[in-house]
Amino acid sequence: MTSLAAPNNAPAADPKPGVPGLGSSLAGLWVLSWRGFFAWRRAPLWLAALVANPLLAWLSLPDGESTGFLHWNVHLYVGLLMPLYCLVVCGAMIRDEVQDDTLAFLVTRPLTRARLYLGKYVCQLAWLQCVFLVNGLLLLGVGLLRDIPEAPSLASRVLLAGILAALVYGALGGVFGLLTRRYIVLGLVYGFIVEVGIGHIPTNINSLSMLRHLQDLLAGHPAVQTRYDWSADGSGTGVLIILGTTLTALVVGAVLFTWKEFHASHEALK
Amino acid sequence: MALHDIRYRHWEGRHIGVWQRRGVIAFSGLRACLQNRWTRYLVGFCWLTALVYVGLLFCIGQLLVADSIIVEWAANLNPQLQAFVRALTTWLEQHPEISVRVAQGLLFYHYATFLITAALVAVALAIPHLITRDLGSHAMVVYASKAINRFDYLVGKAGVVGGLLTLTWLGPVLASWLLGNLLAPNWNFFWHSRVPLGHAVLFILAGMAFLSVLALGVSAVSSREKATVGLYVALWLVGSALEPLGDISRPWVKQLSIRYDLQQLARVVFQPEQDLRIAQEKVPIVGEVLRGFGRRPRAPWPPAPAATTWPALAIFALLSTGVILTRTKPE
Amino acid sequence: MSAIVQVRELSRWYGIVMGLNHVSFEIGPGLVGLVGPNGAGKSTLIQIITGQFRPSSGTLTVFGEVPWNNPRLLRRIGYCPERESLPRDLGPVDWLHGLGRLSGLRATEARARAERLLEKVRLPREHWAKRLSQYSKGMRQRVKLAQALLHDPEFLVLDEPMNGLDPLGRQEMAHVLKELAAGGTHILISSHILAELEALCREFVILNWGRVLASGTRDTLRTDVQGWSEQLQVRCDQPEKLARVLFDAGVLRGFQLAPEGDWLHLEVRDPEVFYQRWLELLLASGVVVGEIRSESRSLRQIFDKVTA
Repeated sequence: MTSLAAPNNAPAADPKPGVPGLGSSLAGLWVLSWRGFFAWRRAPLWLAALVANPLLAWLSLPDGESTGFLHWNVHLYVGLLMPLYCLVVCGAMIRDEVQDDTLAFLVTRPLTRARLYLGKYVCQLAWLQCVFLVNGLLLLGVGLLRDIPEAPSLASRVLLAGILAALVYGALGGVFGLLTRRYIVLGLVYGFIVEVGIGHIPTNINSLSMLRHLQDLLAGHPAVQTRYDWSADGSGTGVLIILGTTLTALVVGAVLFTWKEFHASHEALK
Repeated sequence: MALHDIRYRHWEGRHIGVWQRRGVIAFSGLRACLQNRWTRYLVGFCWLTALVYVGLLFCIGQLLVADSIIVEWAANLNPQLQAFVRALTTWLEQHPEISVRVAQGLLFYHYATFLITAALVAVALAIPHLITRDLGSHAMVVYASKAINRFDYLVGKAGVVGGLLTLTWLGPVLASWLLGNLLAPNWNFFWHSRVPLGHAVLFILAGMAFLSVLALGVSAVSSREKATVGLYVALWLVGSALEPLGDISRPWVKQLSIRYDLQQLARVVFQPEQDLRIAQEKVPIVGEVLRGFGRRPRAPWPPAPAATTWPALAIFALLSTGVILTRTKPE
Repeated sequence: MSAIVQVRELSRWYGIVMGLNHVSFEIGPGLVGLVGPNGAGKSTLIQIITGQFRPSSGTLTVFGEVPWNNPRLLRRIGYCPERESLPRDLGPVDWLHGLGRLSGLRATEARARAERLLEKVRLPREHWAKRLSQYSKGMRQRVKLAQALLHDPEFLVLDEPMNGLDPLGRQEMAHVLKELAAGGTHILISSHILAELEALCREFVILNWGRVLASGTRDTLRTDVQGWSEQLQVRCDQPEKLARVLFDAGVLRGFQLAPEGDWLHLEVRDPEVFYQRWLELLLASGVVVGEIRSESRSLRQIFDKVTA
């Protein structure tokens, strides 16, 4: 039998690996993630993520129906589907590993837990950006097919909203996923209280609602501004708040992941 | 005495009936659901609302008799108000078939539709306990090794949803009817409230059957709890978000909302617009007020859309059945 | 060489459940067996060693460093978990490639090493295209061992690596582990299969109820165990005669004749004296001996004794 022993199978040309750099760890996590995203077993899920939203929009919107198109983009897509999808994808990034009992293979690798967490986030983020890019472009196509005059000018703002939504809701979803295995419920509670509740009540803390800032960004489009009577004045600040919240959530997530132990047996279904 | 009777052969023992076996699946599933404290809180909340409706029924009952405590209370406030209330109650007392039926019809319509949200939450909590965990833990093999077939298994699992919905939906409505009418001024209330009761039971049973099939279908989609609960929540939330779009785009979009479909089903069964019309036409003074209400540009209750509600429910149920049959196919 | 793992007053609690209770010991170099019944604390200890859990109190160091969130140390440790769970949607090469990149290997190197290791753990090439979720228990164990070896660790921690392997697979696994040990890799291996551990390991740590009951080589364990007595089974043509000769010589604490056959069970008073005089007494008795078994030398007996 061929030897597996270190001195025999590790000649000079095959030195012992060191602590991986950022690129190597990101590449490793991407290899481990992308197969999961595109597995044939999950084909219905990723197909649904990519095309269900534009397809339904195309089926349900009559020709030239600008109001419906705006409603679809602003309320349904940016206001509901984007946060929900970010929550599901990023909430699962660590929790799925715990539930599948495969986290041990990752945390015993020679990289810090913070880097592992951030690397996982970047991988999920890349997938989310792909999905939102495809969705945004297909929605633009739906708008053009349905003769919606606002579609081309709105598309760039929807795509930008997608980038920011993925950043911030992905980071928040990651924290929810670390906090509890019922992260979807926690995310919904957060959504109802902060995004819908606090965000729609004129208080000093309504800036906590990220949706509000995304709406400010969309309000830069004249049709959205007129239709919903929103102001685009605070969109620059809104973007900064979104980026700041993302950063804060990532730091919280990284600290939490570094500090917290995960027990697969505690994930036993109750 | 020996610890084990080594002569025992299970195939020689007395077998329990198939319904008992289905019942075992249903009860063990229901017990598992109720181990979740949020499910228990939900059930408790639903029964608390039943008490509220019992209170409302008590007040309505008191309105329908002369010299009731409400009339006396009105007299303390204003003698003219007492005269009005006394005149109204005298008329209502003479026409219990209208007053009791209409009042309870509208009340139970409201209560049964109010509890739709609780029922939808209950289903979300039950979904992991149905087929999802059996798929994940390969418990299907264990079921397959027992003296039950796939149909028995599915009936048992549907019983889990049925049991939970009985606790959160049918039970509170029936209890409020029973207690409310026990607190009514006379026994005729039981007789005159038979139609609202029948409507409530019919609607809730139809809703339960639909939700059971839907819950089993969603539960069978994946072996992962997260995926099935997530799909159900997405179906619910996205459907609800599509409802307002139906007013400005194609109307069928509304039918994608489960909640909307169930509300429309309630309208098809209860036909509250008829109760309202009777009240408008026959109840003195109150009818005047309601007529004004009905003359608004957008009527509160346009005719019940039976033509679109049943097909929408049927499509959801068919899709669910397809998923169930595919995913629980014996290997 | 100094100890690889040093444990001082280590306790680990899971809420009110005790995993490890105030234990202190050292794990030396070479192949070391971790023995204990279910719930003894083996997996808890392994998970602390590999940086998955932290101690509730006390310290545990590997190569002098604390394992939790310590990439420099984790680079030197390879871990093969007990559970069979593997990623569902990946094939073995992709999985090992990804983990290799995470371990600091370059892309081409990671793939090449993945393929080489899969060959070494004897995973047939025709199964490489399959997803890991389609693998049998034995195949999963092989892939798990391969991932533990990816970054060429100095210290290999294996939690029940023989589970699910058929006898041939176990033999191959044992061979691989022996070669690794011979090459200088230190290995900590936990197993329920004591006979196989016994054949593999030089040193043992016996755990039960979160406590270390004994540790050391088999010989030191035997001498350390209180009330230990050497026991022999002898198959001979005249068991009664042999028993009488040995008993009269005063080297036996007791003996027992098997009810049927030609076996004699002996309980030795002092092993050193007994083995000095054994040949002389045997020749004097004129009894023809067919077989001798030393039951008391087996790990199973030591284990039974200390966990009793």
